[in-house]
Amino acid sequence: MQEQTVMEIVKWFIGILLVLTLVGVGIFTYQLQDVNSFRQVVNNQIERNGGLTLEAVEQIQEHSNEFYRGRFVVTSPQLHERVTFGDVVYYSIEATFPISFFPIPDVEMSFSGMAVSHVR
Amino acid sequence: MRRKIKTKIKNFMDVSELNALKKCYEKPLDGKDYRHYVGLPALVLMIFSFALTYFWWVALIFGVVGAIYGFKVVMPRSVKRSYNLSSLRERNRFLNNLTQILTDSSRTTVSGISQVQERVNGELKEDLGVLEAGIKGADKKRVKDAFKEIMDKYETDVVFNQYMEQVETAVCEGRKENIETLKQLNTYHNDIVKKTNQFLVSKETHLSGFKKLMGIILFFIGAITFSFSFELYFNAFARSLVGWIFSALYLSLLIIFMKSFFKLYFDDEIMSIGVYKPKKQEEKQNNKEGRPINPLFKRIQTILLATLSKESYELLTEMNNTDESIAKWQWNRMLRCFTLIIIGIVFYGLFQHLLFLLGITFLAVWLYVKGDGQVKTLYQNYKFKRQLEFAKFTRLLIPYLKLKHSKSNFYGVLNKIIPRLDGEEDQKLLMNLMLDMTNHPNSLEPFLKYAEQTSGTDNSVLFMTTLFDFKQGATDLDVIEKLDEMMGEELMKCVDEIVRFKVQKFVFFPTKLTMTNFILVLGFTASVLYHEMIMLSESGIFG
Repeated sequence: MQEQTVMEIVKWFIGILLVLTLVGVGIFTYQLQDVNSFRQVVNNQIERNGGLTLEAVEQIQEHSNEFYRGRFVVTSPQLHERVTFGDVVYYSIEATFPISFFPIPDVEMSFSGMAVSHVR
Repeated sequence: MRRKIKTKIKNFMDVSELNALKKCYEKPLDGKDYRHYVGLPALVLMIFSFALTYFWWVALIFGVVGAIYGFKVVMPRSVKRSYNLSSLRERNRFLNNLTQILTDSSRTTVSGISQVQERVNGELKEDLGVLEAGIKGADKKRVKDAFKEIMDKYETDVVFNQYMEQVETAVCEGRKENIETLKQLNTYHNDIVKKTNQFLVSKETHLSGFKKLMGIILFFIGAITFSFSFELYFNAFARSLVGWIFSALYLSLLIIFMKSFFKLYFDDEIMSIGVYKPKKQEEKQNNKEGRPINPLFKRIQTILLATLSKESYELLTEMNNTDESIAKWQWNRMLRCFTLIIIGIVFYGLFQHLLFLLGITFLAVWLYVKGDGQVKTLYQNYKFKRQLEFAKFTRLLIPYLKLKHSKSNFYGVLNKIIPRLDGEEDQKLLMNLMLDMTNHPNSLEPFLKYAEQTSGTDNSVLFMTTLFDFKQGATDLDVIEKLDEMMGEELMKCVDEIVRFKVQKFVFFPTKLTMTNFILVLGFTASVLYHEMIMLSESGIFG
């Protein structure tokens, strides 16, 4: 009889594991798609300010802190530089995603992107 | 009928009483007993409650509850059990020794008893001493009283009682015509001891299975505590309302199962299923019979009886219940069912959730159906009791029939038996038989009626028929003796059935306990998800 109990309990344990893994993956992918909207913000700021100026970085960071709890940080070789109209600014978004339920260290990912200055 | 019930009013025994009981055959209570009976339940409850909540005070409360349970329930029951077992073993020794000695035809029964008295130990030795003093040179009345004392004391041991009745007959009549019966009863008693031991062994197996299961469950709790992260478990489950609700549900179910397990575990009775008290009901009905019955009630009664399943009705009628009391029982059963359904509807109205209605309706229907099962259990028990009474009658009768003058004075034999039957009911039935016998001297009818009224089994009818033939002039007792043997075997079969019935109840425990863990699974998953959702919305993921 005990074998059945062990089997049953192991099944349930695997069940918990599966449910929590699925939900964890769901939450992770939800966080992942936040990058898209954040990239939009970064692009907008670069276009308006003509590059990743001090002001632009400040605004971006503020947005990240307010809506994403500072999970996104923008880095770029052209940081704090003002570029001329039509120049391309390359940047990358360093994202830190916490993993739900499991004691796994936070996942760090970087997403590269580019934007064109619209300021004359 | 059973004397045990009287002591049960107090519901538990205090330490001095337990000590007295334990000292009857063994050493008094010591530290090991306390550790085992009181410490263990306390520890188990403490560990489980602490593993679920991580509040030291909750664990403390549960530990105290467990200790009280152990002290007031587990310890008295195990002490009583070991007392009962050693007492049974001692009685068995007494029976075997006495039977052996009594086969020596040159010895009297009284000298046999006094010789065996020196060989047995403990409480029984004293009881036999009292008995010996009571029967030496006493008249029949005092002999009967002396035997009654020891028989009342060991009332639950039916075979021992039957054996002592035979010994009493031997002492009273001064002859040992019944040595065959004594041998047979001795065999039965050996069987009873064997069966009791088998029953205990199978229960021990179930107990060890139960313990292992508890270990597995604890391991499971440990697995979900540490496999994700202890922090998650602590914050999401042990420190959240959802977790507390599920923990409370889980713990209470666990306690309920433990309690019912130990109730079954300590039920060593292999000669009865439960307590059956039909007499009280009958008295009540008799009082009511004088009053005229309202025709409306009569109509309702007929309708109620029509709703009852045919089998249950027949069984209840056979157990000497009147239509009125059956209808009342059915009415209560229906009332309970309807009340539950109404509660279900109210809940449905309050919460607008179909699940409440369905769940409670299901519960009501289940309770209703369970009623039929209860009737069957009662009937089984009733049947056993009746069988026992009839077996007692035959055992009492046969040694007397063997006396040479018995046939010429069949009436006188029955007259001797009347005062030795237990219940007033049985005495009255036998008196009726004697009356009918005198009124219709050449009719079989009174004998059959008596068989129907007492036991009702085919064997009892057969026995009474042969008894009639014997009375009419058949000389040989062989047939009657064979029948008596068959009755005894039937009794043993009854015992087997009861043991099987009781062991069967253990089968569901592992399943029940395993299923209880599903609550933990649900509770943990729900509380962790809930906790995570709150954390996420706080951290602005959905913002």
